[in-house]
Amino acid sequence: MEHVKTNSIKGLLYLALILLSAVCLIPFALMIVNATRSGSEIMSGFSLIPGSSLAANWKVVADNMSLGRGFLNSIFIAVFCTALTCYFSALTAYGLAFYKFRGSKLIFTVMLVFMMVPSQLSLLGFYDLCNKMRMIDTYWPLILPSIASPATVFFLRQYILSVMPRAILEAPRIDGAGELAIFHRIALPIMSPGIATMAIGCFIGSWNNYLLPMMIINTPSKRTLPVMVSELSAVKDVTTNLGATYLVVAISVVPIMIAFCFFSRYIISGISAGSVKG
Amino acid sequence: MDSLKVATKKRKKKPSSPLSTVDRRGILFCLPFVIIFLIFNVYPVFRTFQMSFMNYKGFGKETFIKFDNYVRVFTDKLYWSAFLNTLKMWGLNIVLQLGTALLLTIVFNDIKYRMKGLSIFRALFYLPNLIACTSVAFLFKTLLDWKYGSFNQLLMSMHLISKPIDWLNGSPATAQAIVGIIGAWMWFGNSFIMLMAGVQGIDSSYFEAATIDGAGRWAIFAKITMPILRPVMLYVAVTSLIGGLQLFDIPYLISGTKGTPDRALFTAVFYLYDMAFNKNQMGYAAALAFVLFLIIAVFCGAAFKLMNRKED
Amino acid sequence: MKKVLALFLALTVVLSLAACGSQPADNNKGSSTEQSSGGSNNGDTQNSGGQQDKIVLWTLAKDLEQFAERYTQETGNEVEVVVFDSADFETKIMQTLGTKSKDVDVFVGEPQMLPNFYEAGFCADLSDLDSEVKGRLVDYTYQAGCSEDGILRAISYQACPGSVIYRIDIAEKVFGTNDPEEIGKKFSSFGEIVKTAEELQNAGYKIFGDTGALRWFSISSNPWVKDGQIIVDQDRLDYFDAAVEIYQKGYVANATEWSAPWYASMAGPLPIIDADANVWEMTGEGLADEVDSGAATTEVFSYVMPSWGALIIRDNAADNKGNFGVCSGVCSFFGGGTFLTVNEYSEHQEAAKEFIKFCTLNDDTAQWWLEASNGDVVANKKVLEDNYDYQNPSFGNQNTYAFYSKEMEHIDYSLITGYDDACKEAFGQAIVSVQKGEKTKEDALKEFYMVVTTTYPELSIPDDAPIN
Repeated sequence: MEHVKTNSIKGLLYLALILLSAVCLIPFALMIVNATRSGSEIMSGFSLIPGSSLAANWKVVADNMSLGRGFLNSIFIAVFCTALTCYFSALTAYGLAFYKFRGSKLIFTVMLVFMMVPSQLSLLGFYDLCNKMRMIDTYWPLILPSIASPATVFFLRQYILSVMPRAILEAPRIDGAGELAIFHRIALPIMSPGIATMAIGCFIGSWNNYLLPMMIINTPSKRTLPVMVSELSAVKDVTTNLGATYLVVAISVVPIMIAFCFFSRYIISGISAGSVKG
Repeated sequence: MDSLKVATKKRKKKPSSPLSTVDRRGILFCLPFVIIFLIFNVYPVFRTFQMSFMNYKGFGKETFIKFDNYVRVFTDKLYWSAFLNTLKMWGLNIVLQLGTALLLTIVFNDIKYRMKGLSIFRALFYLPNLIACTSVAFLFKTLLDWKYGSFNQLLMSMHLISKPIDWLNGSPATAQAIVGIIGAWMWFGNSFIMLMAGVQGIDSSYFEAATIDGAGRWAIFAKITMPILRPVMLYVAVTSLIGGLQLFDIPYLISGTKGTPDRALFTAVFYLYDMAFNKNQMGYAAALAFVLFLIIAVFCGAAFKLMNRKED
Repeated sequence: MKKVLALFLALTVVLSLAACGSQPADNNKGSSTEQSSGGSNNGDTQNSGGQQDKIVLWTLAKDLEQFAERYTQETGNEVEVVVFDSADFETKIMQTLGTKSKDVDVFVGEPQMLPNFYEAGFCADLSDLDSEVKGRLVDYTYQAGCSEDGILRAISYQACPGSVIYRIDIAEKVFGTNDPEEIGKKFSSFGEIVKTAEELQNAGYKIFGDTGALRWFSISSNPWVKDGQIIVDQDRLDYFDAAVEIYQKGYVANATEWSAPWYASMAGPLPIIDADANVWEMTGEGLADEVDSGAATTEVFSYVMPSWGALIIRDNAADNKGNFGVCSGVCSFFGGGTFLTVNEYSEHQEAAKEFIKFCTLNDDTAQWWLEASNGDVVANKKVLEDNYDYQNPSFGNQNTYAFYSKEMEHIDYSLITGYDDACKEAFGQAIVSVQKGEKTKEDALKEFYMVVTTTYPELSIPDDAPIN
């Protein structure tokens, strides 16, 4: 009896999980299906059966937008941002967590305070600065600031304090290993699950970034994908055709979903492999 | 970077009082961060602070007007209603987001049911978070269209509703709820990953020992899981609060940059952005930003206090 | 996993060092900073020697690409056109030129942006062209092109007078005539519009896609702001009432401007979207099938738009092409228009001026554009006159140029203020909240005043305001 009850509850839990997954997936499913249907089909009714207008929709999109270019640009920026953020945040977090130097408290506090400043308004000062440094219409202003990512440092500092006892550092120090080498050989591998988690977030953050690239980049061939998608409503031939509209959104979304299918395995195993000490 | 290497070499030559010397090297680890931080984070904010005392359109002349902008903030009904909108949308978002994530964490850590498929579900739940805000906004805007959106069509074909519902331009509360739900939809998977990462660090022998001691599932959850999750939840809640009070992209894009219906989708940052770049009142917008910053700081301080007190 | 991570980190270190190392060098290189794999060689526009300098043009309108092409063909001078489709164009200009950037030589502005551009000092003095522009180009474009101090700073190749664009076939069926004069009477006041909407409704048609169409008539006899006071005159109250009535009685098709259904309405019937309509049951069937099945569709009779809107309607009309006419509405108005202006900080001001002259003041160009664009209204008065007898096939062979030229004579530019956009938007939102039953008219008007005075504290509410 107890066994039956357990099993039926388990079944209900799985059902709930599957429903929740459906909630996550249905908008994307509709998007993909609608991308293959013609504008009038979409307007006249709902369907989960793909239509036959993919090629026609694609032609409209290809004639009006260069999404491939935007895609590459976004990848390029996101990869650099992620790499820089992860490495330098880990370095900083390690420095803040394991060294008691003058000013470490100050750095930590200032960092926390600046996490709360609305970024939208510092745009003007930021732009002013980039212009003075002659960085407008380049990717520098989009990539370089990722070296200083307070939120990531904050997380990694908490993380390393909970996973790495100070005592671990004693032995290699006695062996005469350099501080940087200790960081690379010991701290970094221990932090890697935490870093991996932050890496996805950082990649997505950079990928999602819309306001900054829009302000900084002038040359159309350098524009990122979100900027292109946001300009969609101004491309008349695309907006007049709902099918093409869905296709543009799908193009911006599907490759990421595919990439995630492969990437997520690393992330999840990375997290599971973490040697978090309770 | 080079200086770091030099520093470590020096250390070897001078083994006396190793700890303090070593500790001082810490600054070098933080140096790249600090430099970039000063240039790209601190300077622009300082510049904004300066502007908040100016009558400045964003171009042309700046005139110093002391605290006039700040005085105006406190009588600006639109700003405070925008702030209230932000709180409503974020509130719904965080309740749904953290609630779902916590429930999922409990389900997947239940020693009785031993649910499988964690990695698949985790990936599926995380999926919405991968999508650029512009795409999310555009997707939902199109799907939720009153007349031609697939969502209404779906509900009607299932006979759940008889009339199409105007989700985004109907009642203000509905539109705000939609934004809150979209936020939760985007972020609950992320919170779930964070919470799971925290729980998975718990040594399974704790659970076994507790089970042998005859502790109930809820007791184990309350005594072992929750205390370990608390710092992670603090992190998720605080970053979500900081991010949530700065809510901008989704309401901005989904309302077609207008904040409709009835200004319900105007958030605090949306309002100050509009003020700065559409109404050309940069100085005033800077003051709005600083007031928002102070509020966020107060909220965060309170959140930290609250969470820390529970821990004792 | 470890190997991947190690590789990743190694790469990171190398790249970050490279990045840090090369950064100072960039400071000397100037605006042509190259990204290691960032792609294209971007606009290093500092061109030495050669004939005339290459100029860079920032625009919202794709049209100017064709102008630039023609300019290069005829003069051999190069123009690099950068098109921004973004709604944030004005912000973009503000930020870029706010830092006295020399990267742009010519940029465009729409009338509502121009006063800000002038005030910010971005627009170079073009007063040596003043005598040529004044009188030769449509008056309101000259007025809009002058800054407050009366100095000419922007010139438009286009004029955008407003019109009501209506379906000839429906007009004949419902009103028994398609004469623009007669149909114009149907739109001559807000009261008439409500009556017209009712007539159309009874015949199974919808007067507009949505009530937003009426906003164009919101500046009829008074500016929105006079002497620092917000003006809501009787016309505006009539506009308010008409918009609410038309909406609440279901006289519009609920196809919002710029939405896909709105575009679709130009080409053919739309599914009716009433409470009891059941179009969603017809899963998978195209619109054409629904038309056959009868009852569940309706058609939109008219669109209120500036002259460029006529082109949009024509382009989306498909089989309805030739089935449209243009007439005047409650009042004459204008909307949008692409004004060209020279960047004050440009190092190629002469070359930039030459290009603007070519686009706006050259009769041949105007005639070419009029033909190439298939019916855009140019600002050049003489060329417009030359084409008075042009029978526009998209508009039932109506003389659209003659019509628009006449409309432009009634445009009163002195009614335009810098507050118009904000006022129109707030007023529009007030209307919507009453339409949807969220607020009473009085509350909505109060809210309107509150929104405008909060946004612009320098404005006040007059004593005779229609609220108490």
